[in-house]
Amino acid sequence: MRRRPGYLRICGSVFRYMSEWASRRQLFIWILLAAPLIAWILPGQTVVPFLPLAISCITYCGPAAFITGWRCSDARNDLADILFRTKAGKYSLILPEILLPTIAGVLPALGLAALWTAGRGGIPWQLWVVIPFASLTAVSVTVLLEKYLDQTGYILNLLAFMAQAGAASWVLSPVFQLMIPHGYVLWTLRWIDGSRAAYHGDIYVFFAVLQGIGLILLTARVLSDSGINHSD
Amino acid sequence: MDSSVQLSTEELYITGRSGDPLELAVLAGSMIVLLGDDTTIAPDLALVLAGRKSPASGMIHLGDNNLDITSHNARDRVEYVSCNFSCPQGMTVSGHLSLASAAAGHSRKDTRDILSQLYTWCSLENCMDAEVNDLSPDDRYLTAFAAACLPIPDVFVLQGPFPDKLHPLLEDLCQGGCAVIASLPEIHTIPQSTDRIAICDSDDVRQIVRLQELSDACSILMRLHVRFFPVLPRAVMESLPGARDVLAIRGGYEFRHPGLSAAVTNLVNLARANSRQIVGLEVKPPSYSELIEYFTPDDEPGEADLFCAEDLDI
Repeated sequence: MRRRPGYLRICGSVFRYMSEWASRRQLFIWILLAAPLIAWILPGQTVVPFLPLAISCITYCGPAAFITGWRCSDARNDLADILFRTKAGKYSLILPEILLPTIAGVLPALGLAALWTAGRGGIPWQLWVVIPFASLTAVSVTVLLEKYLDQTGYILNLLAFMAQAGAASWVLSPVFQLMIPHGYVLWTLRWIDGSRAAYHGDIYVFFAVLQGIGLILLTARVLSDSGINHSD
Repeated sequence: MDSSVQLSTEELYITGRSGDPLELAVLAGSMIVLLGDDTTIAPDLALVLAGRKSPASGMIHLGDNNLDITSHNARDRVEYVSCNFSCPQGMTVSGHLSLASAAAGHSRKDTRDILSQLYTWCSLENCMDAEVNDLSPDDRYLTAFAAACLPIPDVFVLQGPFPDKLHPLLEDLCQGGCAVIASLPEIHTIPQSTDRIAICDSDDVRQIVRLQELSDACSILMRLHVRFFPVLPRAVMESLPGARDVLAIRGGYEFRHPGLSAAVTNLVNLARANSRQIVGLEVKPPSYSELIEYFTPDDEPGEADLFCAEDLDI
C-alpha cells in the first residue's frame, strides 16, 4: 500500500524544535531587539520615521534571529539524520526551516505595516509582495554568507543591515538602493510615503521577487547538502 | 520462510586497497555480522551496504529486481541504525517516534496503534515521555531502532555495539523475513541467531564463516590462565591432556586447550592428584589479530607442487 508522509506534522515538529533551539540562545533576543534598537539609535531616525525603519528592520531581524547558526547546529543535524533518508525526504526539513524564519519576519512586519498605512488607505499591493520576498532574501543571505564566509559573513550581513537602517547618504544613490537587498522594504515604504526613493515601488518589488527566488534556490541547495552523512 | 535475496553486491570494492571484490548476498530472514572494530572496514562496510557511503567501486542491489541501493525507490527499504544516535534537545521518545512515523507515511490514527505496539515490543513503555538525549545508551539505541522499524524496511543495517535486549527483537525481525546486517566490534556481542560472520580486517573481508566455525576457532585459540597453591611443577603441568603452548606465569601457567569443559575437568583432576588448590582460573579469548590470522588462507608462494599442473606450467 502506498503511504504518503505527513508533511504537515513534520512541518509542525520542525517549527517546534527550531523555535526551541533558537529561543534557547542568548543571541536570539539580541538579534530580535536589534531591529527597534537600530531603528531608534541610528541617525536615520531623523530622516526616516521610526515605524517604516522598524518595519524594514523586523523583516530582516526576525528571519536572522531564527536562521543564524541553525545550519551547522546539532539540532539541525539530528533532524536531518531523522528525516533526510525517509520517504518524506530532504525537503520535509528544508521547507519548514526556510518557512519559519520567513514567517517570523513577515507577520510582525505586515502587522506594523498595517498600522503605518492605516491612515493612508491600507497596505499597497507592493508591500504584500516585497515584505515576504525580503524576508525570504534575509533567510537566504544569512545562510549563504554563513556558508561561504563564516564569521566574516555575519559581519558583512550586519553591516549591510545597518547601512539600510542608517539610511546613510550613500545608500540613497540609485545603484546602492538596488544592490543592498536589506533595504527593499524601506525604499518601498519611502516610495509609498513619497520621500526620496530612487525608483518606482514596482521596481523594488520586481528586484525583491527576482532576488528572493534566485537566492532561495541556492539556499535550498546549500541546506540539502548540510547534514551528517547526507551529502549525497 | 521467504529465502529471496534482499541485498547483493556486484564487484564491490569498499576501499581502494581492497584486494578482491566482495561478493555478498544477504537472504531474507538471515542475519550477518560484520565483525571488526573501528580500525577495520566493518563500520564503513555497514555504511556502504546501507547506502550511506559510496564504495570505491561496484554496486549494491536491493531485492530480486536489482534495484540500486542509492536510488530514490530504495529509500525506506533499507534502514540504518547508528550507535551515535542523538535527537534535538527537548525531543521525547514519543515525539521522536511520532516524527519518524509521519515521515514514514503512517496516518495520525495508525500512528497511535503502531506506537503502542512498538513501545511494548521494544520495552520502551517507561520512557515514552523521557527526553531521548537523557536516556541510557541502551534505551537510546532501542529508540533509534524502534524509529527504524516504522517504515517497515526489508533490510536493517545496525552499527553496534547494541544492547543484549535487542537480540530477541532481531530474531523476530528475521523470522518476519527481514535481512539484518550488524557491524559489531567484539565477538561476545554477536547474537546467537547470527547465520554468518564476515571477519573484516583493515582493507577487506577476510572470510565469511558460520557462528559454529567462529566458536570452534575461539575454542582453539583461547588461552587459559591457571594458578595453583602451592605452585605446580612445570613437568606436571605439561602432562595435562590436551594442553599446548604451556607458558609459566606468576604463580601458575598459561596454556591452550581445544575444549574449555575438558580443560577445567582435567585441571581439577590434576590439582586433586597433586594435592594442590586452584586459586585462580581465567579464560582469555583470542585477540582479533589472532582470529584474522587463523582465518587467513595460507597462500604464501612456496615450492612448486610436483602434483599441481599450474605450478609446473603444463
